[in-house]
Amino acid sequence: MGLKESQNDDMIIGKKQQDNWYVKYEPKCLSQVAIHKRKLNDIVSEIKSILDGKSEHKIVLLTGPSGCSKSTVIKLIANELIPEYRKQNNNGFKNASKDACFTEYSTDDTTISPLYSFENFLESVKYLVGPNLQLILVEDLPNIFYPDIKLRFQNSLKKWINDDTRKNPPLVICLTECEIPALYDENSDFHRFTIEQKFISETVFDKEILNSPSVFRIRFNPINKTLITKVLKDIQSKEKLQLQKNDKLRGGKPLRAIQEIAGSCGDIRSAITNFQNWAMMPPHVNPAIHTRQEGVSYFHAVGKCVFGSQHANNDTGTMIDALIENYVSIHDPNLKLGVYENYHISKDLSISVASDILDIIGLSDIMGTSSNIANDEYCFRGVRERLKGGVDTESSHRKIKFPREWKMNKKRFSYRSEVDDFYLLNISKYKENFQKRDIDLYYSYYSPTIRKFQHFKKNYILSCLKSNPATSHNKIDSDIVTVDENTDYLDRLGGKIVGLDADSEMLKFENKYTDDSCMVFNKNKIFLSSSNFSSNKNEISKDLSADDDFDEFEIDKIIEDSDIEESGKEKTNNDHGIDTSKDGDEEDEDDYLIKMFSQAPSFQNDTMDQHMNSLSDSDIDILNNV
Amino acid sequence: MSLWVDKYRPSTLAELSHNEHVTNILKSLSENNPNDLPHLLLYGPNGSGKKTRTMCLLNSIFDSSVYRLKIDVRQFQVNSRKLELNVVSSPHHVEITPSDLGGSYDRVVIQELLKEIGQTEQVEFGSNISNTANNNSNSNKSPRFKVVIINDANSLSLDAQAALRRTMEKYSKNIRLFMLCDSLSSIISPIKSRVLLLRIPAPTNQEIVSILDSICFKQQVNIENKDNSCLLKIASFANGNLRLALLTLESMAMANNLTLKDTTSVIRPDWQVVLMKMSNKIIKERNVKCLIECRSMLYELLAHCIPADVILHDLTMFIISALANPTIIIGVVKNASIFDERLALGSKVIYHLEGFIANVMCEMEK
Repeated sequence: MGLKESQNDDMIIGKKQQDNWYVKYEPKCLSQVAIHKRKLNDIVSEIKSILDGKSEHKIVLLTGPSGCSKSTVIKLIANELIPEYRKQNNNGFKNASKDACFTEYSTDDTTISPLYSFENFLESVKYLVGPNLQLILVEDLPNIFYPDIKLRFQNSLKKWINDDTRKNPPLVICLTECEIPALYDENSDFHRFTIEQKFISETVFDKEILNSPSVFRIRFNPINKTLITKVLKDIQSKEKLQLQKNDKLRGGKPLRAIQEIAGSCGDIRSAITNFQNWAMMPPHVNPAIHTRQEGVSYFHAVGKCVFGSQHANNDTGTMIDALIENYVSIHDPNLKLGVYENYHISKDLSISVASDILDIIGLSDIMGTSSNIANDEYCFRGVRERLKGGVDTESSHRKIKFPREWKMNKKRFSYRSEVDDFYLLNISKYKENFQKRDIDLYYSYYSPTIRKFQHFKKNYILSCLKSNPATSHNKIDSDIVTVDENTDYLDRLGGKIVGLDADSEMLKFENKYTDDSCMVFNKNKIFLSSSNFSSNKNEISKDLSADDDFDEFEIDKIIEDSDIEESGKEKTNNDHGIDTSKDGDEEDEDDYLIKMFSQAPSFQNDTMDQHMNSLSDSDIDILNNV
Repeated sequence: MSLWVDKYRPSTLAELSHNEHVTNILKSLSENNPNDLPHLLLYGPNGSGKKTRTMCLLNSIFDSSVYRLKIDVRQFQVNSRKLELNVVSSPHHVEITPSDLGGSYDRVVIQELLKEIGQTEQVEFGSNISNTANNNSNSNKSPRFKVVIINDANSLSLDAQAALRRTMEKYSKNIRLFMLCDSLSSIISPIKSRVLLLRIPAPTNQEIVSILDSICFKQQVNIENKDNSCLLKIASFANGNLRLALLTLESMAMANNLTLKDTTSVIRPDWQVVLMKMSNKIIKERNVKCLIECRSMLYELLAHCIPADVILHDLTMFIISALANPTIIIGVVKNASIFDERLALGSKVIYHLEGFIANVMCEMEK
């Protein structure tokens, strides 16, 4: 192999004046581009309508694997369309038609900090409209592997989207999507679905951008065999000379080579390079064709394992061989999770088969670390073997789901942050030092439950005092006085326990749990623990737990909650409570109120009043009911 | 104010209510020359009062300043990774929970921390002694050490335990270790031989009832029916876990307006309710669809940090309690033990939890 390559190099050096074929035969007009006609029309009409101002889209997003003519198409479109539109707007001062038709963002300029370069670029191209009209093309992205830059990048795009003041030139973003083989790392367990591993639009942009009405997304597919064949044949006819020289034209050789290359991948750039390489070889060498390896994508791989192949005869062995060979990284622990998540969808399984499959997955999990290929193979082959046989026809339409594991981890992380906050709160406010395990098992449920009742009671008493200061009251329990909806957790930590379902779409995570907010959580923790947290506590817990916002609706819910079991009895109890209160100690009332407000300096009096006003209505209802 | 479980927590040895004999041992420890105090390892089930007793002991050895807690976030550098650990401390003791760190980093953290504390002699106590002389019977031999409480000691890695054993000897002049754990099984024998082992048994149901009763009296909770059948119900539900019993009592009292009747239902933690429902479903349905529904609940429980072994244990218990056929019960228990081992060996607990459920379903199909 090494020998072959060195010969190869010599040949290329010998003919240095010659360009690479993929540059030489770059399409000169739209009709030459290897792309499906309908897709091409889609893009052209979209750009036209944006230029005409008919479309509300501001950003066109072109996504797809490498070598499927994304940038070629958009550059050619720019060259064909932009001059026309310029002419329309040109008022005769300037002959602008010779200017470039598009401006490309580049990261080469090292004078600007990478943090601001994209923002500056967008700012500077805003004025390329009217007679100076250009298409704004972003192919090269700033280094978004840094969270800060990513955030700024996304924010500046959002700003662009929301900028309604003037008509901006159309912004086209070409994103070459790829999956990067994951190195197994135990420590990075918790952000599995990240930009480090899957460089796709879902990870590069956030949900807000992708779902924005101003963004128009066009997905490119790998180029099909017919189109590649056509292009290669075209080149073959133009390069007859070269081929003749290397004695490659005899015996239908080029056709066979073209077929082989075209069938091996959907990447036209790689196909042309390979063809050139093949053609340049001296006659006696017949090099093997190494096109860009076509990795099997994640869902494809899971699907192969779960559904099997269409050809029943090569059902298990060979197919898994191919899968293991082709999947970009078989070590990806997500793959096993994916099989686990989806094993049941191909057909109606009996419970015994399901338990067999789970046994296999479980055993492969305890076989050793994930970097050991044997246990993954055991898992795939075993599962495939158990699922052998036909697939239910309807089930093949069921979607493969991305494993829930990462979603669970995000949720778990946000729960952990809440627990940390809860822990600090209890140490600072109540001087109690809980253990995490006890919080998980008991306090996370009981403490909010109890506080919620106390809080309700407090509001109830406060409103009674307010509406009718003369009434005497049940002896107020000092416990309830310190409950404060702004600091205390009144809802179960981590939210109620409801099922955690897998999404059919990958992109359906709440923005709340994205990396950035995780960082905020951590900051709070440090900030909190640094010193006197009791004073900072209020504002922090407010943004940490928006759920704590208490409103009338919530109060109703509490009433319902407390009434759930024995509503009738509950009310008589209430009644009873108020009756006995008549002979309660009256002097205490004022003391309590004073104490209440002095102990809780964090109450802003007017907001508190508002609360009490809003509360008193609902409370009066209860009183009436009683 | 704090929850009842904390409000009525005893703070001196004299106030401790159940298991007199342990209390007596602690009393005698505190009356001896404090510098003779051995390292302690207190073990017993969750909610039996290990921590409470430790703090009471500290209170009697030092003074009530051990309850003046402050919290620091300490950072440790472990091969280019920064770890954070909450360290709770008072002037006389430091408290750490190594299981918060997770993973195998506890060794470094424990060593660093103990070294730091161990290398500083507690000089300031020497000068304080004249002031606090009347607190200590033998003032000349006042404690010249700091106490390090290690919570959840059974989650310490073997690595960390081995490191601990050397540190215990090296710095024993300045440090006393009080370790608390649920079970001794994962503590290595060199440690066991260097400490005074104290077993703290869970309170009996009768003891729990009397504690609950006294608190009800102080909180003016009305109990209808003086035979305390309601409290007994709570006690038997809590199964020796006093913390759980008190939390249940308070939430029940709050939900029912400070009146408890025989009919008042016990408020269980929500995750247990979920597991109960799940076990009923498993017994009734026994198909893949049910399995998939269980999966989403399992994931949710894991997201709430309910430990997988607790899920497995409680699920097994609920299933067993609903079954009558002894051969099936044996099968269920057998599966539980198999999958409990796999939980410990594997890396993704979800496979094994679902595997357990599937196997139990199979067992019942037979």
